[in-house]
Amino acid sequence: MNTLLDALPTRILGALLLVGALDPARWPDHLSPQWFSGALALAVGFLVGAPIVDRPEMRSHRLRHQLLRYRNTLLAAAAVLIAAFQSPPAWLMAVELALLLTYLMLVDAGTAPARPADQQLNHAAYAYAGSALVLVAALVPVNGGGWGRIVAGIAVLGTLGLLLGALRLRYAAGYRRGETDSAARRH
Amino acid sequence: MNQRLQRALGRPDRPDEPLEPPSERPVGWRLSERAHRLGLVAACALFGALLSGHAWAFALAAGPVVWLLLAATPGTRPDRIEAHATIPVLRCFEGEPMTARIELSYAGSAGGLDPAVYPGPGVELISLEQHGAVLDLEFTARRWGRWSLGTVDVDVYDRGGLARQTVRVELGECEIFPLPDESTLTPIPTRLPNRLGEHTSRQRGEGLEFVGVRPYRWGDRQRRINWAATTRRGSVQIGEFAAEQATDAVVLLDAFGDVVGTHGGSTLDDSVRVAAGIARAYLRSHDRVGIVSLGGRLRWLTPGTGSTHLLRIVESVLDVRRDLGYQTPDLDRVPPPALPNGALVYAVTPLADDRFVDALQDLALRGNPAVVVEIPAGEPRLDPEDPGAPLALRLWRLDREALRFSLTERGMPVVAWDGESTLDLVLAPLLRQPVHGRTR
Repeated sequence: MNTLLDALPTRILGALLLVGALDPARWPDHLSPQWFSGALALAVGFLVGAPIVDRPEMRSHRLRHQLLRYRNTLLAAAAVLIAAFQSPPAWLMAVELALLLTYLMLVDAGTAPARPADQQLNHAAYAYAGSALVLVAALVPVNGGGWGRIVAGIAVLGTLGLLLGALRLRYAAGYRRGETDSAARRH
Repeated sequence: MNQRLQRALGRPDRPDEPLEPPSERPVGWRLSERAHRLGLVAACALFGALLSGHAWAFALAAGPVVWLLLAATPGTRPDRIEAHATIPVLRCFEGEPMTARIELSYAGSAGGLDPAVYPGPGVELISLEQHGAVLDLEFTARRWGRWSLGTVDVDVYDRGGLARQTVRVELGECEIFPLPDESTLTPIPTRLPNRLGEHTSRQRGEGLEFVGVRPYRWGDRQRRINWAATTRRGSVQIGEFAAEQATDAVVLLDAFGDVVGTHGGSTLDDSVRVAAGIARAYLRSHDRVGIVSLGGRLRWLTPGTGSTHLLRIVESVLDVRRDLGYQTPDLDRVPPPALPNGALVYAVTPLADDRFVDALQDLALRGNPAVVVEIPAGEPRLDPEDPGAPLALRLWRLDREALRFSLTERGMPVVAWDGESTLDLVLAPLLRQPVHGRTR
């Protein structure tokens, strides 16, 4: 049985992700319902944030089992849905974005079988860069003059360039079989 | 247990309890958990952004979308995946390790392997190592029997970790021989067959044990003259020695049922260990040993001798329990060819089935000397709320005492082996005098 201290970094990330989605920058100074919802989000995020290490197998069709099995996915999806309806300050948007990507990266590392480390790092770097560009483009004031449109256009072009460049990446390694490779080439 | 092993066994909370292998996996590629997760997060972010009108929410979708696009590059999936299992040894004794190697072959390259192991009943996975596309598994069996070694489902992922394909490998059957209990004592019946062996019999012969002197007769060998007796009696006396003969022993195994023993184990497990221990002890003293297993599928082996005969005996009893299944008994009588005239019979039984008691009565009528080695079954559980339960338990105990008494009266001494002490301690009282059996 997992204890609460297992996978502590991922649990903390999950808790912060869920709390950050509630836009804590706008919470009032005095005790209010937002603080209670924040505490609830903190607890839920901490409890369900640990990555699932079991194999992806359907062992039961019960709702409780399904929720437990997909808890990481549901946590990230819920955080994103809640955050999408908030308009936090820019620094909190950046923090929320970084928390989301880091959480997804850690959860992937825990659940899927090991992929090559340099491939993971490359893909993560491109994901961070692409998200940052889109965020910058989203924050540019488009009705304040010509600069906003130029920056937004550059961001879109930059994202496309990043994607095209990344698609040309050669993967570092898989488990290659020499003889089957040559056989495949013959076919 | 390490994390990889737990993941492969698929039940971290109860690792000792094996899972049933699932039905055959769908053929072909299907999306992985990672693809589902990234897709759902991206979709939620896009949906939220469109619904709320907040442009920054598109940034939440950008990361997962970039990941998905990068991982979904064409040509990242291996093709023509096949698995081949190699198991060098499929026969061993309890507790010994068995290794299995699964080699995967495919065209192209794969991103990762994720094996799920479903060991058969009685088999335990103790290590799992991966070297590239080769999986090395090590099993051990805690209980004797003929077990299915297990099933392995290997998930082969593409290089991006977005899709997986499952290959099923059946590891086949293994034979686990029971570890014989340590025993060295070999009680003998009153009458031994006329065959050279190591047991001192009551008949005169050419053995080493001195039994008496008699007057010289014409034809006696001079080296047999007992000079001390000759001097004392004044006439030539010849020393007499006991003959050394072999015996036939037949182990009768009660496989009608498998109940919980007094120490919590299986009585059938203990019975087979006792049977193997007795057979080994007699084979070491160059006697002939046979075995008959009553219950389930009737098997018997006519008495034989030699070191390899122990393996034949053990192999013949493996079928009494196949994957913890149950088979309707073929016959509840000992077949006559399996029981040589005058052979000493060891009936190893928990005395829990009336059909075996009937077989013992049948045995007593044939006149074979027999010994009942009882593997004590645990006492029935009492219902604490039933006021008559202690009385019923007392009746049950008295009934068993009466059964033992009746067997002893029929010429079959009953000795009990609790599974913890040595078998020699149990058989030692039988050395005081040869086993008589019932006279015809």
